[in-house]
Amino acid sequence: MAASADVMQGTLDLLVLKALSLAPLHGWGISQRIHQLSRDALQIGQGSLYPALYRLERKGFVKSEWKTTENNREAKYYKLTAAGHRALTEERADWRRFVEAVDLVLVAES
Amino acid sequence: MLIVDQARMWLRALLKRGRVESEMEKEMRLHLELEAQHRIEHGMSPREARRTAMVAFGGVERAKESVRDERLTRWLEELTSDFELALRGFRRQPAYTIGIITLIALGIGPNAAIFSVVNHTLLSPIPFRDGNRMVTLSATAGGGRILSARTKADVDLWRARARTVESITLVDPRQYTLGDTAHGPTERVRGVAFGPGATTFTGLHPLIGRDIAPSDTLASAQPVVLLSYALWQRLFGGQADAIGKSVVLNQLSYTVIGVMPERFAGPFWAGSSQLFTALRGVRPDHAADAIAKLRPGASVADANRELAAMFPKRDASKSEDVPFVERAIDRVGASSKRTIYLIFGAVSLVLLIACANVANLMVARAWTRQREFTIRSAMGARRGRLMRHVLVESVTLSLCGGTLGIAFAFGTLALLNRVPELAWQIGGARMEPIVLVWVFSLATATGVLFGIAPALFVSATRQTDALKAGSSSVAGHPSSRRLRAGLVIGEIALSVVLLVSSGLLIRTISAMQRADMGFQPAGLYGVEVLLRDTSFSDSTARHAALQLVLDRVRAVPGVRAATYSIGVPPDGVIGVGQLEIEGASVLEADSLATSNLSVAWPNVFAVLGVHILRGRAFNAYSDQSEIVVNDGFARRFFPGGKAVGGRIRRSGGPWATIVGIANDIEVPGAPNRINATHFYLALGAAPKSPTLLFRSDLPLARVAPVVTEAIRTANPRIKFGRTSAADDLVAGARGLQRFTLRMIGAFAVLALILVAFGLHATIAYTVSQRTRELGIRMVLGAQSHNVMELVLGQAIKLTAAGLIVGVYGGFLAGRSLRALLFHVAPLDPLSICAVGIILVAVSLIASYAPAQRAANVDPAETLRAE
Repeated sequence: MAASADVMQGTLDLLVLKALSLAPLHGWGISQRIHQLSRDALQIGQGSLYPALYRLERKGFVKSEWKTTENNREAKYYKLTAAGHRALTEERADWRRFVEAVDLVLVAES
Repeated sequence: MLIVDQARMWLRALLKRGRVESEMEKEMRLHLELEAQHRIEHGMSPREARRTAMVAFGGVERAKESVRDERLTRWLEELTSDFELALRGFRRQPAYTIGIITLIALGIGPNAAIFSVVNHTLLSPIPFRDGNRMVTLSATAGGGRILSARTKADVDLWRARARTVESITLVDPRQYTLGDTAHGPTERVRGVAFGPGATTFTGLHPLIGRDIAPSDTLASAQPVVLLSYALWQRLFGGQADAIGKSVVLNQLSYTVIGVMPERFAGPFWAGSSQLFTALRGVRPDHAADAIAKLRPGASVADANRELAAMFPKRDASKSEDVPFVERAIDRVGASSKRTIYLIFGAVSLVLLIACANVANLMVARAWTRQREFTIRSAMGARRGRLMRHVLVESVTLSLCGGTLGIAFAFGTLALLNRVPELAWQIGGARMEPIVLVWVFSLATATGVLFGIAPALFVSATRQTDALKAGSSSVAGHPSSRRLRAGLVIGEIALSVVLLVSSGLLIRTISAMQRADMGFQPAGLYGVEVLLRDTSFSDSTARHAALQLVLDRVRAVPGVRAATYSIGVPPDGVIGVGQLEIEGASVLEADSLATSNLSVAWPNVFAVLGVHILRGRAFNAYSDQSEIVVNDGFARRFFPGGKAVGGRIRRSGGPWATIVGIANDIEVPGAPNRINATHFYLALGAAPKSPTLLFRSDLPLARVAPVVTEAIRTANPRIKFGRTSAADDLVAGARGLQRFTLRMIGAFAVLALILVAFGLHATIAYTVSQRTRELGIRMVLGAQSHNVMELVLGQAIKLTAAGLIVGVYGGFLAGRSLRALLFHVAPLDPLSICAVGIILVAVSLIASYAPAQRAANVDPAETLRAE
């Protein structure tokens, strides 16, 4: 596992929003989804996942409710709100610009 | 997300803390289980899977803490625990806690009491409906120096035409003699005579009985009176059958028709009045004050523009009466406003001194608790958390102190309300809800204020330093020592301000007592003689009756001399305007001068003890063609020194010749006279209510009954007022100074006690910290008296520093007291020296016990103890 749990906070929020943009998930599901989507490259430290979820909920980007899983377990499911969708679009654009900028710097250096 | 949603979430986290916590617990457990299961599915053994899942999660408790941080309720939870911690600390140190709470209560209690006076007299002086819209009508004359009343005719005109004001009502503040002089004691009470509508003006109605009706104001109507609540309680014990009974006012019988609610007796714009009568049979030229309400939307300026248009000046070159209105609020207590602010300033200094004491104690304690804080911070407590802990402690203490302070405030207020001379100034100040708000804001503010010093101190100390220092007994951290010395010096300086102010007032009062007033008040008495009976309608009859009374009174044993005048000095002067001085065409901006006037029987100057400087006094043949003027009058209107022989007249009247110049009568502190000019008019037609002046060496209580008995036997139809002593009136003129001295003096004493306490605490603490050093000094040969001198020297040094700082403050205080001072400069060396001696004495007394303790230090013992 090459990934580090030390994902920058802003990045973590973006990843969580992206993971939730496809379907509502519970906490473990979110970390699994990010794991899969990154082709096993990213492993989210749970110590930062749950605070991030609470923070997003406070900001109104996600909503939570208790539902039963397919295995009949009680789990807290998180769902993206309209504001969350907007935030995702914005942050994705920001991220792109950031990556391009960093790329430019790195290219220039080499 | 909406703020509301955020708030809901926050509240849920706060109030349903258990549920939120268990949900979080459940969520994380599920996470671990799912992760483990996932690992099992990938071929791990169940045990290995659970272990690695835990590792991957990275510390459940830490994750929980991070979530809790996100919830933002943490500070409140910690606050609760800080509070519990503080209470536990207080229980451990009851003496310290009680001491601090008492100090705060001593600072806040009197402050709250005076604040309720401020609130009562200055902030909400007119607690009536539309009080803010209430205006009073006045006029200026004599170049704007004199406030005069308007006539009823003017007020009627105003009422008929005014657009900017409404509910115009005539009010006439009066003094009444309550009770029949022929039967028992009488007293002077303040009252207001007004027409119907004055009570509805305030939105208040009689508690029992009826209001003043229009028919009561007819000249032929029976006199009626409304009592204030307080007077009703006093005279009739609050019995409802008071209605219909009669009271004697100015020797006339008035029927009680109602009682006003308690609030009505409060500071009405004419001061606190005891009774309210109907303004009966007012002639158009009767001068009275008027009150009105601004119409909604109209300003004082609008009303004044309207007045100016209504009463245009006839001649721009002359300074005629200029009517104007001003807000009633601005007029209320205008004279006492300054004094009350001064006293409020004094009581605030006491609060500051108490605060300095408390901060001092807290810094001392913070120092001794250094180790506790260091250990807590070593165990991971954040610096902010420690600071907050100290703040929570001090705010809790000051809130407790505030609560106790309210009890003190009730006590202080009850005491103030019992002093009869203060009744007029503060009459009926109560603990209103706003005062409680004031107390608790004050308590919180002081808590934060004096909590900050120790809090900063705690946070500024490095851990290692503290741990090192904690084991030895060096005399405190240098910065702590400086801070504490600064606080003590500050509180001494503040007390100097109060003490110097008291000193200036004491010197003022004694200077006033010693002042040459131009007459001899000692042993001078006066009683108003009232010739109301129909048999006295003729001047000759009055003259005969008065002469008979005079002869009888002169024959009374113990009476040395007697005469008639109007009033007893310094009372009994009448202001007159429109004087013409012969030969002086232009005196000032206009030729109309004003002066004070009194009417005099021939030998009045001898009885008063006034000297004739030039010319002669009145003689038996003097009539109204002769006048005697005072020195001030002569100097002002006859600057050439040729007053005797000059002629003056009141506009349009007959000329009178100046026959003599009398010395000025000047009673320090007496209400501002229009100017220092005064003239005496010889008696013309016998007056209906002259004042019988007599001299006696006997005290008032012994001479008054004998003299009034002589009047009664001379002619039973003659009524008389209350006998008063000129000495009392002169002393009454110093009332404002005495009132201020009483208040500031009391606070100065309180300040002195607090300073003594603060000094004692500081010196005692330093001695306990320096025990080891003192032990070493003694081993090296210092004697007990050397050690004692060392400790006392420290106290004197602090006191001297405080004195130096305080003298400047005292000078500033003296300057703000200037209006009250008499023959004393704001920077009075004698007061300052006296204060210095008092403070040095107090500081020696306060530090004697710790010095003694230091001197008794057993060197062997102390050194072994280390």
